[in-house]
Amino acid sequence: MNEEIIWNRLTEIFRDVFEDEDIVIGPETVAQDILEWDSLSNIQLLVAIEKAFDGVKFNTGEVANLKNVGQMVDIIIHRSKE
Amino acid sequence: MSFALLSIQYLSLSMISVLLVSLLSSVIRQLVFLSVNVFFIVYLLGLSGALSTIAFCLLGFALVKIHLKWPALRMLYSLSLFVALFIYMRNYEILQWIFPQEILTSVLSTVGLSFLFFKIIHVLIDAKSNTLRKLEFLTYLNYCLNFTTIMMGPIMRYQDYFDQWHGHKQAIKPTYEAHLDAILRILSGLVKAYILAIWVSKLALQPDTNVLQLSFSSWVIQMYGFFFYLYLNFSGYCDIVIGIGSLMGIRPPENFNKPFIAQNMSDFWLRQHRSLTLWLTDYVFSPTYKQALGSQWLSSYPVLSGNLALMLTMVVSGIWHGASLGFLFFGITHGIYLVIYHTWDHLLSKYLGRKRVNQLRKNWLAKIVGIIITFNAASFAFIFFQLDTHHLLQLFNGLLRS
Repeated sequence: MNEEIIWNRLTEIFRDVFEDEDIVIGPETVAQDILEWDSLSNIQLLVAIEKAFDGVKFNTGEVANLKNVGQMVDIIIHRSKE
Repeated sequence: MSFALLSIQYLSLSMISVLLVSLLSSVIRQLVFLSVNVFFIVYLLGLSGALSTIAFCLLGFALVKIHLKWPALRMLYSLSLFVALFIYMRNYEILQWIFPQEILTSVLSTVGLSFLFFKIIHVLIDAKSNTLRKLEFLTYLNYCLNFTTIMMGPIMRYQDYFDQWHGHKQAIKPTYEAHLDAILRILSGLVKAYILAIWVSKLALQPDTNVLQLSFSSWVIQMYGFFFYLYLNFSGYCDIVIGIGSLMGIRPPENFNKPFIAQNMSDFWLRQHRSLTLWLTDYVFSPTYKQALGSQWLSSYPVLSGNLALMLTMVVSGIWHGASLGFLFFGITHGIYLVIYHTWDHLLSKYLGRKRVNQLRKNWLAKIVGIIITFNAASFAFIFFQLDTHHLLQLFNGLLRS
């Protein structure tokens, strides 16, 4: 899948989960950058991503070690079947 | 505290270790550090305790190796085996009601087993998920047995240990000031744990207190006293080992950040025993919440899913803390607190909107009210943490009768 499409779709998911239309994300974005990004909304976000990208699944170790949005996108690029 | 960090033996062992680990290199450095760790554990636990600790680590390593060799193997079996072994070794009070006395043992229950258990589970899951970096036998053993954190944490992650051991990440800035800071941190920890905590412990609730016979004011003082005692004792201990670890080049993560000024229960657990909270979040809360949100039944009830995962996490936290009944109640109480907070937070943002809730949180009056409620709720839950089973049951009986 085209990386630009991934970023656009991901931005939409972020805005939807965190209920904030002004959110802008990049590879270096981390949880501390978004006020609402806590352990609960983190999982809501990951589940929303898994639903939006066919074939994408995050396992427990990956969830524990995700450092920034860039790593999220890497996993999506590798696993997405579209 | 079972082993005096103030003792001349511990402090000299630490200084020898700091020097050796800083001066040596490669395999010799690993082996010397391993010898220091094993020496410490034998000194602390005796030969049988040390052997059971080391065997526990080796079993963990074998399981990780098996999973790396056969990736298709399900995690469930090895995790269940490991959890069962832990429950047996930890000699949970509840086992006495299920199994005959002859097959139970308290010999294997060693200091720090709970911490070791969580460290190994983390290595196991991360190795299986390919997020461990490189699994090395000696690094793994020293990570598990590291004498600074083996007794009571803070719970370090393998990747963090690995990076600092191999010099990919700096534990401390190579300046005179940073080293002086680390030494001052050790000293302030000693003052907290050995002077202030002992002084405050005279005011604190004891395991054999008959709570119902206390007057209201002495009950409140003892309850607050225990909270402060626990803070001074545990955070003082953490200051000491973080200081020593920094000097040695392997700095454990921070564990405390003024828990008395937490504004809500979720904030409290990020300030109190933080390394445990982060571990529980990653390996209990996140997988269960994710499973619930992705499941057929619960996906349309996100608040309920969150509450179930929060409750489960706190129950695990409770029984992880200790083998007696009080710890289970401690966990359940904190589970209830988090469920109330999560539901309240959800309702507030539903009716007021996220932005207004965030504005409200910045209001000083709301902050003070939040701090008072959280402080009292946290102090109250520590009653279950401190009372032994006999006096806890006595309390429940008395409450039921009245």
